Amino acid sequence: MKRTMSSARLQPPALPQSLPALLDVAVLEAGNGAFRLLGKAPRWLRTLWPEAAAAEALHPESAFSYLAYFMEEARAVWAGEDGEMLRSDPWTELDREGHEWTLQATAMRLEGRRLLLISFPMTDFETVRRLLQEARNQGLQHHRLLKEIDKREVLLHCIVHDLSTPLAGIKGSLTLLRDDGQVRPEGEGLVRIGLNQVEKMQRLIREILATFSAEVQPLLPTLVSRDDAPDLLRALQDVAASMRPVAMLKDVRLRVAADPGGTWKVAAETTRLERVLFNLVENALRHTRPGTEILLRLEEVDGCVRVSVEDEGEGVPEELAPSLFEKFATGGPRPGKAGLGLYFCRLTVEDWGGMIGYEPRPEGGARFWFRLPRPSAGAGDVS
Amino acid sequence: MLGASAVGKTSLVKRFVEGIFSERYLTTVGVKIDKKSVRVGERSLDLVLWDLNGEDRFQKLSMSYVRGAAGYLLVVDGTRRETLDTAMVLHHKVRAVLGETPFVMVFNKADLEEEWVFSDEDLRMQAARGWTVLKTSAKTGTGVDEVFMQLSARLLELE
Repeated sequence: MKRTMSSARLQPPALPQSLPALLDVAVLEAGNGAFRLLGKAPRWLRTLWPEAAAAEALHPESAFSYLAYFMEEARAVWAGEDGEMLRSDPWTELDREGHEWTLQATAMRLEGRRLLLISFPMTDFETVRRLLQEARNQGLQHHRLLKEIDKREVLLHCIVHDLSTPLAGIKGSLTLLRDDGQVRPEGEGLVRIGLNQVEKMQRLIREILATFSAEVQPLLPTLVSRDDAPDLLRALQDVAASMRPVAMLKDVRLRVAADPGGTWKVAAETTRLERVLFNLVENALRHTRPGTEILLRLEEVDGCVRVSVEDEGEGVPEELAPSLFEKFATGGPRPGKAGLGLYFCRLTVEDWGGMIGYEPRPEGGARFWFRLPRPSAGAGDVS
Repeated sequence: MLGASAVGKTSLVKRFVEGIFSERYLTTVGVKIDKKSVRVGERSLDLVLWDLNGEDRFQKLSMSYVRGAAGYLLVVDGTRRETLDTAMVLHHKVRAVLGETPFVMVFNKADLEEEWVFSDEDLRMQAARGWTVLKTSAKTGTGVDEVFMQLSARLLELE
């Protein structure tokens, strides 16, 4: 049997007038050409739209410009089925004191009544905004970093083209002067100084280029097969041989110490490996004393090959040791050095999965070392 | 106010309406609405400025907002080339909705001109299309009033 109830019993008790205000929601009902406020106006509405609490016929779109846009879409909801609802995006209004109020509107049709609710955003507006802010800040930061990289590329371009080319010209001219015997004996010293300075500048340029290209190269895998892997002993001997004349001028001996029966193949790339060795030996030569020895030692440690370059100089001041392998760490005023040599060594060795470090020698002097893994069988990625 | 995110739309409005600038404006989510009355010659005009969220990978601009706009500012960040691309895309989308409508192209952040990726020649190329192209700095206020006044004048011309 279908049960019916009297209309008196169907009529629910009216909602408390203060409920919308307590919930911070303005509830407006559309009538003929105007709206009326249902219940008590929330405090924010009295601030933003003081007339709303008193007037009978309200036009919310005149108080909130955004609603003029929203009403057009809301009309479709009000003309539709019961229970339909449309929620606006958040929008921000300013009060007379210039404070921002972010609001959100909802249009709905309920029991034939056309309602417009205005409230604070239903979504966690501040969380959304914070996330967007963070994402956009990171986007801007990323953009700034890309620009910095671009600037560096330009700098490199300048170094290569604007410095290298004239330096090559100067070197060529000085060499011709020297070799043609056109320089008087008293001028020969000056030509030699000029040539030395040019070579110093060229080394510096190579160092800068090697360093910055090393920052990019780790992104690219270096494939080295076991057969192609360089022999560290041979590389060390080659570098020592090439630097022996300079060492002799400084009255410094270069000695290579390694087990001749050992195998010293490492996972590396020959050109950059020689550059690392060159930098370390050159560093030792600059800081050792005349009449001393630089020992280039090879040994096996924990399945890796370890190279150490030991000198008998004054060693590295304790306060500088932690930053030795950082970019532009010069360890004091040294004209002509950019502080990039050891930084390049670290980038390169770490790129190959190795480690690099410094320790003072107990008997005095410095010991720079690095270790590299051995190559795996067959081709392998050593980056 | 149309443009990519972080080109300075909110800053331009704040500078124009309130005469202030802050480095700490929060990103606009949805719409911010501001009002200002201006005088152009003997006539006055009430501007209702809709500062819309920036267009980027995180938020898309709802084209329904531009319906009913009398004119618009197309804002570009002089230090970021891609913001011009965004502005051009928005311009074409808006024209599809509004048809021929007055607008001014604004290259903002003139205070950072040493970091600009656009030359005066680039700006002249935009102006050569018959567009009004102006440089502004919401930070220093340079050119800001002029932008809004030029747009206002063009709106009144159409009446």
